[in-house]
Amino acid sequence: MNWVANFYFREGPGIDKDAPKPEGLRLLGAVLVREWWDLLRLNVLFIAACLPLVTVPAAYFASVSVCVAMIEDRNVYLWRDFWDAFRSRFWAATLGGVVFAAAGALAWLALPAYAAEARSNLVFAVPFALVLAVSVLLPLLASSFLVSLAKAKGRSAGQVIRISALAVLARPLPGLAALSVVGALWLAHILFYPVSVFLPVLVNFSLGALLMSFAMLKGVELGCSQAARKQ
Amino acid sequence: MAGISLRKLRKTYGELRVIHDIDLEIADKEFIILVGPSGCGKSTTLRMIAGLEEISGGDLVIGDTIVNDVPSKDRDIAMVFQNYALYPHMTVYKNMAFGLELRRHPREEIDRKVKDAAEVLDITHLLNRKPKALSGGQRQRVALGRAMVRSPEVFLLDEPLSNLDAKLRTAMRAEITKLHRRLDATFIYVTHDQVEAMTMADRIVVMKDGYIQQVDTPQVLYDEPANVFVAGFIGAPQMNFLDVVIRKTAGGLAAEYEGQLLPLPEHLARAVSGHEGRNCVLGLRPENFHERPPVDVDPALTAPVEMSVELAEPMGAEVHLNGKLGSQGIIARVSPRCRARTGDTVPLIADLSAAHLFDKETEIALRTGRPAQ
Repeated sequence: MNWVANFYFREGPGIDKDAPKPEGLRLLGAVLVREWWDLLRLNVLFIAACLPLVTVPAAYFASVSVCVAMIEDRNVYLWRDFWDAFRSRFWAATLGGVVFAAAGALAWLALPAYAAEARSNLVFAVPFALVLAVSVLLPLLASSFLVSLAKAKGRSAGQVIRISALAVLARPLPGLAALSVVGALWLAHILFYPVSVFLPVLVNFSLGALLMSFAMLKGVELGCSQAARKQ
Repeated sequence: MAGISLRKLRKTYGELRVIHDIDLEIADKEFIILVGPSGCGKSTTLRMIAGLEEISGGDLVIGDTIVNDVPSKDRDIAMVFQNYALYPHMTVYKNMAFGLELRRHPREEIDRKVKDAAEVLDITHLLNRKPKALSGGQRQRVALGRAMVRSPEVFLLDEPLSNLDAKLRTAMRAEITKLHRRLDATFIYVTHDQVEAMTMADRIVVMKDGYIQQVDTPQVLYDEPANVFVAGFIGAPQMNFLDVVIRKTAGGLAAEYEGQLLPLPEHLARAVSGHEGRNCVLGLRPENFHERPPVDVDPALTAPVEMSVELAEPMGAEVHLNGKLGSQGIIARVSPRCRARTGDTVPLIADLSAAHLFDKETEIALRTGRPAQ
């Protein structure tokens, strides 16, 4: 069994202090390689925290908060940091969750109605397009809101909302790309069921939170610096 | 205050005694190095101080308290192990913070201490990495950092540089010395590398077979070794030893080596006065052989000798000549201009003013007060 110990304890190549920091997809890859085990644990923790259902928004916010720390290369104590975030922003996250869920439900109700009207009267194509845009941007706004909540400590609710809106408007494409990957992840789960039965248990939630956080973080940082400049 | 006293400290494993009633006083904030060959008991002594080995006899006193029965965790000491003993599944940050977490320090304090230590050791960029990715030198810094965050009164370091390559070891030697000055704590350091000991220590403890041979500053150990073992252990290349007999000559006392009379300086002559015919060991360091007569030495205390070269080792700044002086092997350190090759016979001048004399039987140094250099 020596080879196991040798593999585990062998000396690494070292990390150059002045090495350029990875950016973009390379950074995402580095985070995934470094934090894969914690991401698996985070997924399970998230599912466990969601069991009472009313805790879903706060649990998702806690996951986003942990993911932001991972992306920023901060040290993560998974259990402690998760529950700290869960407790500290429980009400804000829950309120945000209710608002976004309501908005999403309205949009999904309105979409088929406007689509049916647009078939007989072309004027309804405009509200249909608007609702369609809103329903696509809503998940981005929700993610942006949670990342802002995690990043913008000590800011008022208004400021957090402004920052998250600005982040979506400033950098919508990374958000849409991340949303597509997350959608593909869930589609894979549906298509390959029951082979993919463990996918949501292992990665779908935490990886989804990581991807969305990664996509929105730069925009949120931009919003934060704008807000700081105004102050 | 963290002065440490070892009073008749003993360690036995069954019938086998590995540490023999040693006495040692270590001053507060001193950098002391235990040095000796493998199996001499230096690591065992360190582990007894750490509380990782039971003390079989004698007292270990830290400050004013006998701590023989005090658990390791309550001794206010931190130890850095040879293999670093980092937890492979934890990040550097967690490795450094772990000890403080066990002691239930406040989270903010842990964070501050870890970041401060990382800053000092220049490992801030490694905090969120696991040991697997780190090089030996980086692991070594992390191990030091883990000890530092506890702000102990005493640091125990068990051959912390032995796993590093030569270049890194030299760099880390300087780093640890600087760290000692910065932390202002007592450092007890174990090594078998006498270069490490000479360059870093305030005082060196030379050990052999569980006994302390000599305790003193590096320079005193080098200039005035207490016995043949210390003389041979301290200095690289090591001191040359020649079997001699003390003879009386017209000019005073001399050491006769295979028919050649080698004049003795006054402080050695006084020590063997009245002991003509006594068998002794004459010690001469490699740098005490010169190609030309040294200008700053009394010519009466030099002797021409002939060395048959068996191997010439060019070191860049100097050449080490390995060969024979008569029937006994010696090493001479000469200038890089020396063109001697294997098989050559080289005339050298032996500087006897720096010679050492030891009793052949007891191997203890024979000398009276050496004149000021």
